[in-house]
Amino acid sequence: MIHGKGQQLLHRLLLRDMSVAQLAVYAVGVYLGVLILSGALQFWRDFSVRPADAADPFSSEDYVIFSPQVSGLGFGSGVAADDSLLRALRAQPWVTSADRFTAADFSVAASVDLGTDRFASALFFEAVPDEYMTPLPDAWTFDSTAAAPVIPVILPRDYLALYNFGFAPSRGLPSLGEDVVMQIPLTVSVAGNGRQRLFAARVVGFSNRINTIAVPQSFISWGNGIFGEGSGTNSSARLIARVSTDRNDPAIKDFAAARSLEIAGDSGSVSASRVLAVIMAIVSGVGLLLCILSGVILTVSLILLLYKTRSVISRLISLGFTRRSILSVYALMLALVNAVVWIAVAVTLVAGHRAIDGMLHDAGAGTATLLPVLGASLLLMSVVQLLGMTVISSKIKL
Amino acid sequence: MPQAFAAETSRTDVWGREVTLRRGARVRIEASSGSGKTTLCSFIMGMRSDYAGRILFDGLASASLSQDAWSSLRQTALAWLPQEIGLFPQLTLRENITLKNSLTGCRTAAWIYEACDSLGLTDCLDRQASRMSVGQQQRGALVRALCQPMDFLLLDEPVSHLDAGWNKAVASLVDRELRASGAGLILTSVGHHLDITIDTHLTL
Repeated sequence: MIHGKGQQLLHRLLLRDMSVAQLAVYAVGVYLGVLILSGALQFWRDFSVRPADAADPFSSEDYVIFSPQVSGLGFGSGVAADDSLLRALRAQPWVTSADRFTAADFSVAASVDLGTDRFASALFFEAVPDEYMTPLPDAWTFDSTAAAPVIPVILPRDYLALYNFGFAPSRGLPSLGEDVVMQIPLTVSVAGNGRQRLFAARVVGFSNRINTIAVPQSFISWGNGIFGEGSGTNSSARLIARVSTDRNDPAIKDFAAARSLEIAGDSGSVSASRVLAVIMAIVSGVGLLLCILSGVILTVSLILLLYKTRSVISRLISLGFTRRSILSVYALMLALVNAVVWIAVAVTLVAGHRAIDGMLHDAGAGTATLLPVLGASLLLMSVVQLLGMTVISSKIKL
Repeated sequence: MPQAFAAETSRTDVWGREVTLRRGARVRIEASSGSGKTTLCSFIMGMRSDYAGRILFDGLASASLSQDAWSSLRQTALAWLPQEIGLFPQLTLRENITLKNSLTGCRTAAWIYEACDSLGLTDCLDRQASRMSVGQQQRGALVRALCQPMDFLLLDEPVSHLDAGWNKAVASLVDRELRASGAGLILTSVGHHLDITIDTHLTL
């Protein structure tokens, strides 16, 4: 037990040779390292609590569409995917769920009225169960009992690109953005089974995944019942599967090759989830590296400080001071620095999280509570504190 | 015996022999420079352990003592004035003494002042140790060493920087405190002796 002024003198003696510059470099380094690590963790948490209708960029799930290979003139042969193929697909260990496309068993024509010009075209509609349509657009419903039912349509993004960069320039037509296309009112004429009816339709979204003109399954089921001619062609040749592995997994390729199927899915060779996962890994790696470097700086600074004060420590021990009382001076100094660093990290995290709240929401993320990340950063700082104390303890000798 | 002397065959009153030091007894260990006086003090104080043989405190081997046990001995049983004096140069004399006394709580401010006064140090109390003469530092370090309860007082060449007048003053203070505490004295000397009554002379 050291009385009154003795403790103060002990601090003066032991911390006199401390390099403020080295301590500042350590503090800034560990601040940045812990902040980056905590920020990456919070980013991941924010996307984990995304709103239910938003895409999950960290999902490890992928979608794969299987189509029969067509070579030469493939009139009719093997067009419909039979039940055994669907059963075989569902039995694969990498398949979470699988289903078939449903095609419209009636003829469809769409027209768009642009004031002076009127475009019309024969179309085809297909549907897949809603569970494969994530994120599901808000208006993805068809109510056949409504007075003027509207058919929501999702177009492949490639179709718009084809129009904007192929068709429109060659005909002197303007290019259209996705938001503009979604505002254009369409008229859809449905005919079959001796009946015909006009519907209002609207493009509600674009998809990289579903390479067809997609409408809600409820519309196709209802339409096939009313306008279908019972030809049996409403079972599409294509199957869609949600897989728990990478789309490029050899197992999927082997399955497709063995059954003469072609594979399609979300366009782009690398999915968003993987890009984000790689970015997160790099950011976390930088944060971790900064933490490790700061730990090295701290260790070297402490060893240097203890080297400079070794004769003071030796004299103090000869006077009867315990190693514990000497260690406590350094531990307290380090704890104060680490506490300031942690408070700075916490303040930055809270303020930064508030500042980018809107951006996160726009990106489809939610706002997770910061408490677990603050707790994790506190734990990390405690590990740093423990490391420092271990270094000091091992160096305080006679 | 220090491990460095292990190859030497000559035996002294201390190295290679069993020596018993008792509380209340005053022993002077004389030797020429370089024969290990300071080393012996370091062994007794537990600051070095590179020796062959054993040092026992009341039958307990000092080699088996924990760091805490050594700290306790240095606070309550073994007072030491090292040859190199060992005041902290950046602290004043008063702070140097206060630092030790804050650990033991042994002396009053009045005792410290009176002890410093007897050694002519009152003018130096608030002077940085680095600005004091070596003789003043040696006397100041003695006052600091006395700021604890003790069974033995180890003085390693305590008057090497003092003239005859201050030698007497130091001897008087040491004699008074040894009588008051009943402690033993272990005094080393290269020939310039502290002017105090001694019970036993040993040669190193």
